[in-house]
Amino acid sequence: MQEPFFFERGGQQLFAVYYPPEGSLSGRAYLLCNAFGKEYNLCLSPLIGVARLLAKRGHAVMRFDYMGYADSQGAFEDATLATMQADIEAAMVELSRRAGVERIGLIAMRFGAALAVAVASRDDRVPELVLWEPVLKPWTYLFAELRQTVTMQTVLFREVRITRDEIVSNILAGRPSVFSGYDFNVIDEGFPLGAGLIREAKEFNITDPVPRLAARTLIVNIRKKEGPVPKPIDAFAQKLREGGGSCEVAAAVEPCAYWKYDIVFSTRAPGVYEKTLSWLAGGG
Amino acid sequence: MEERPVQFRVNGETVCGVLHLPDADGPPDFGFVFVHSGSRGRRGNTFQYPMYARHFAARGYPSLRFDPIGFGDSTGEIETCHADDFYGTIQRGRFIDDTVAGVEEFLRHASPRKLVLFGICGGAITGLVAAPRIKRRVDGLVLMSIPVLIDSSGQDQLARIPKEYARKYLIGMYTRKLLSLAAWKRLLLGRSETGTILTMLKATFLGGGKSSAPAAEEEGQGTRFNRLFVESLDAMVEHRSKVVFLFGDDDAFRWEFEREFYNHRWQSNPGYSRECAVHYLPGCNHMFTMREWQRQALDLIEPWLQTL
Repeated sequence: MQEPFFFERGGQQLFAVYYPPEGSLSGRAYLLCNAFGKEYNLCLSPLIGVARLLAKRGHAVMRFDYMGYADSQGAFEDATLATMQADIEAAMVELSRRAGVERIGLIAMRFGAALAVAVASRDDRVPELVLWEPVLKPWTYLFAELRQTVTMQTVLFREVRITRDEIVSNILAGRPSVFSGYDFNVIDEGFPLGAGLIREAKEFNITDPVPRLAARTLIVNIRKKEGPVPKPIDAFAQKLREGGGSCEVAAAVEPCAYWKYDIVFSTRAPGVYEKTLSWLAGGG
Repeated sequence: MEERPVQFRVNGETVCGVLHLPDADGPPDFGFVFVHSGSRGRRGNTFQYPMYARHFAARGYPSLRFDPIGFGDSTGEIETCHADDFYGTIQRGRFIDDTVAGVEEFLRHASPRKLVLFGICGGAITGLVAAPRIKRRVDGLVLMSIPVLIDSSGQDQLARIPKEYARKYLIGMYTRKLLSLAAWKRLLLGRSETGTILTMLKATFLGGGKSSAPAAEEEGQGTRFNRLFVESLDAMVEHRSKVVFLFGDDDAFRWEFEREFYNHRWQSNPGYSRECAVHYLPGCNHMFTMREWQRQALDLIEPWLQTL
């Protein structure tokens, strides 16, 4: 069972789906926080898969679209790290109201994971935090993604007309980057970028220093083959523990990288679900 | 104007979508059902479906967007498989039932004078093959980047890259780099996409340039050409429904459309030139990801609507 609806945040209607708990109520509720840009569509189905499994186990779950994303109102270029965090917080309030539960766990993927850490660091009503293949440095991630905007120019013009640094500079100055009728102030093949996102991403920092988290935290590294957990994830987890937090790291082997265009098409993430559900069940 | 979530049942599953219902005194001139591509759901790449829906709603035209069974907010399962095999199932009509039910649901909430199905890639082929099965007359079809072949992981991956596309890709991406020291350095250090370059080089000389459509007519099975494409198009043309094909000229599917269909079938049926229009958008990619291309598409679609 699921209930799609809109709720209001800052004068904008945000789309959400509520998954009421089935069977006996656990008294626990989880909010899903999705990824950025093109990864949003790709990560949506795997995230929804865990919502349904959690609801079957008696938990209340909700997912939502950030302002400017998908079915929510607003413009993508107006979404910033601050608005996305405010969306998460408003969604927590909405879920809390619907489920009658005060404390809300966050299950977040990729870029959404960085936002969830920031929200959890200042809200001790978050008892559990599950981060799937987190993007720990949003600015590094965004700047890397801008490479595709440069590649698009090579396809269109057989040359690069504007570099990533120049695009960033134009966005921050409020100038378009127009060549032959195209504005290259975009990311991920065409999502328009706003100055607010760039400015905030450059200043956003959850790795040095790592915030103190009251929430129990699980980081799930998603990979195609067995192997060591990447060093940045391990280091982040270590710092969380050094700060007095509880953090575990698990690796889930999956047939595809859900956040990329992959040769394998899959809408469910069974390995990730198993790690997540067993860890949540162990929390009591 | 109202945007309202909606859920309806198809084959035992719950399909979830969003209705865009503008304020109106009487029946709107046009109503749109956006057909999902299968792998991007009701949002489309760079969230272009909500953008189109809101654009049309501002003009008084209602619409419905919905997720396919097994994707996004719709329940059900899609088996994990090679992406090409999944696309092949879409091209064979996997989502016909969703689409027929989607139209029925839309018509429960809106009564447009003219009904238009609108889809990109998998959504285009799904819309086309579903249209003849819809009880209410479909007046128009907007088909962007429609595939005319059936994908499969079993087929020769080289043969599916059109020679023309490979040539254009190589010239576009690498001509200037031949004289770039930095590019040669990247190549020697293994930082270039050598696999892609080699594939495109091979495709330029050995790639798919031969039409599989005549063979499809002769053999009926075992070829890549999608007979459902022509059968459904013929049915729509016979019913005097209007069809507009939109392609990015940077899209491999454009070459396949020309090679497999347009170049040798178009003239054989006068109904095609009477009911169908074909447009190529300069520089545009397969999924119309830039806002500029999406606006160009709307600029072509709006006058076309007046022909319905």
